[in-house]
Amino acid sequence: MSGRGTGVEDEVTREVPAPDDPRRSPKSRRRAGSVAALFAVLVLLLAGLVVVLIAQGSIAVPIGDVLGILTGRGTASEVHRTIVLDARLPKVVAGLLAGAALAVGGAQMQTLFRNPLADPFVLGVSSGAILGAAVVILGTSGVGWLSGLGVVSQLGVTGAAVAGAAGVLLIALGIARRVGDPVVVLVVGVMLGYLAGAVVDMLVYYTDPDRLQALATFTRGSVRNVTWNELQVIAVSCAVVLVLSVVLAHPLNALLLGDRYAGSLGVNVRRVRFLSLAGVAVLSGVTTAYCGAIGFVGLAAPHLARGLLRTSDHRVVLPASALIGASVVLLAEYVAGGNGLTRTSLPLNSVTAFVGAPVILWVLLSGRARRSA
Amino acid sequence: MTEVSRPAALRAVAVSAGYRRRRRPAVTVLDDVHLEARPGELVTLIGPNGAGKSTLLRTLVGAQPPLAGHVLLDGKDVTALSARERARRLAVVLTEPVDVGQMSVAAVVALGRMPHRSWTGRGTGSDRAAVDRALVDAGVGELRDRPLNDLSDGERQRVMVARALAQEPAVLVLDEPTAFLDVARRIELAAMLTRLTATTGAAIVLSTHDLAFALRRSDQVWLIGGDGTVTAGAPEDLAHSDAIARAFAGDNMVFDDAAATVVVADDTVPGATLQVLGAGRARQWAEHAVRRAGWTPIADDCGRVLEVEPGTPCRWQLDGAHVPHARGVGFDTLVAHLRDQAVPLREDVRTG
Repeated sequence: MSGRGTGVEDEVTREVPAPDDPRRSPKSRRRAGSVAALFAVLVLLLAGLVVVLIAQGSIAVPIGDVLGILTGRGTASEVHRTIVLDARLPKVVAGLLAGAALAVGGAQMQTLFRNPLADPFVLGVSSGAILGAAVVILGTSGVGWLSGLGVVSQLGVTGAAVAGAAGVLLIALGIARRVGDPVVVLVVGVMLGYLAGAVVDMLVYYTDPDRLQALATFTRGSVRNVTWNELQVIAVSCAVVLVLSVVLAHPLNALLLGDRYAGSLGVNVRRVRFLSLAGVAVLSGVTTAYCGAIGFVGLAAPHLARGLLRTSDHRVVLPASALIGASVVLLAEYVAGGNGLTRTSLPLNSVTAFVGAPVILWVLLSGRARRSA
Repeated sequence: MTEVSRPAALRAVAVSAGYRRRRRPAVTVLDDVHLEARPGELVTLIGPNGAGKSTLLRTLVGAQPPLAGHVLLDGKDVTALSARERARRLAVVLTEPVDVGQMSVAAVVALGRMPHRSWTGRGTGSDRAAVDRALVDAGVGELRDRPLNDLSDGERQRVMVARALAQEPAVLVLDEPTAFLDVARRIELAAMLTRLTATTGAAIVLSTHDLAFALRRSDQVWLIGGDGTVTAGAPEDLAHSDAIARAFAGDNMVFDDAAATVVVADDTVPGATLQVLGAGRARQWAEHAVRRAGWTPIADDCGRVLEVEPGTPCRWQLDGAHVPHARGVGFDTLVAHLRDQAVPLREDVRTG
């Protein structure tokens, strides 16, 4: 060992038992309590949104029936059961997973890019995913929207979307590491998004007009076409990556100090960055492949989580972002057309922008974007 | 005998440091370096800009592999250790500012426990004790619940030291820790580091531009000359042998022994000498004023005598065979008067 008298040091610490440390106990215990309370509120909010969203629609189902069917001990009619379980639940779960995935992806990107404005949509990662998916959809003959595809073709499209997302992420990160200024990186990301979008437009121009509608839904974001069959792919991939993100929470905290400090703490910076980026690519690629490009959730949710928790600690920010992101998407889905109040439905992006755009403006105007790189 | 057998915490054996380049020969900045930092020692690394301070530090902490030779940390080759094993023995404090968003001082310091934790990152009682001890040792115990972003530069620097101490390292390396601090914060930090060598038993290696601090506080100085050599020794040995003066030599610069630092060489007029009479600080600062005016104070009577009285502002009077009588109050009038006198004196010397 080091031969510097560690034995003596240990003796000293054993004489000072943790509970009688007057500075730590009250304040940190109060904080732990308020964090737990906040998580409880977020879970309840999310559960409430799930139930309300399932209940509302062109055929209203009583909330009591919804709860009964979901908990498996209901006396509800077979019609209601079918509506809830086969028609509405997959969409709600898809929206929930998409929101959580985008939010967790956004939170990781904001740390990896050292940029408070990073998120899959803003930096063009979703557009890259659309490009990847569009190439496969439009390139393979005779198939239209995903729902018409078997699982193998689905995976092909999803894989292409993930690859497209990863491509844009790599380019954006390469530029971000050369240019320090977050605002420049933001503009670069927007331009990459436009570029990918332009390529998609070109592809559309040269293909069958029948598929235009499919791609239009794709670019505006929607969870309304998701079936149980498709949900399996989303659920499995999102679950795997979200669990991976929890493991990465601690090294990501070290990355807040900068790459060199993280390295000095024994963190393999390259590996953490690779795993995290791969996770972000999967999350945003899969989400985009099934629900289209849902904007601003990945940007706003982590900021809301940090603001509510008053910490940047990823161990709580990542789960809180997931809950908030899921809630935001479900709320947006409710406003956009799941409420049964209107016949027409809005694109999800039109609603999420109401949450996301103010957050971007707030971050820009409060000077948080002006970090020294 | 025990002193001699104490193992080095950090050793460089025949290390060549520099940069490897693609498809071209490597650039050697420092060649055949032998260094040794023992537990509880404060070592300062000094040298002119561009001499290779950063290169040497990066090589010593294992951030870049040596071109030749070995860096031994606790007797183990630093390049052979895993990043985690290295982080348990060696901690660094960098010059770059950190922006961690919203994080409390205690949370930032707790990051230092990372190399000791399992992959789940769960803290144990000994982790908490180490964090508490680090906070107290670095003098930031009072700040533990404050957000890092609210602190001053000096306080942040101390928090980063606390974070490094939480790693419980055998070697603590600091890259120009005093760079952005004012004089008072610098002295505080220096005093803290000196205390830490005793309380933690770690070897502390720091690079600095502050020669006076390096010579006054360190047990050992590593001096990088501009020629790719590193000389290790006691501060007094390096100063006395003129090694420091040579390393920092330049136009209009001299090593001032009393101030223990390199100072601007006095721009003196030949022959403009005078004897200063007086006591204590009044005399010391009178000589300072005389030099600033371009004159040279000497010990012997040369027909020009400056007498100063203690008291503020200082009263002075100039007298003697070779100088017109003059008197005044305050050193500004003294310097102005002497500067007026300097030009005709040169002719006196030439003719007489």
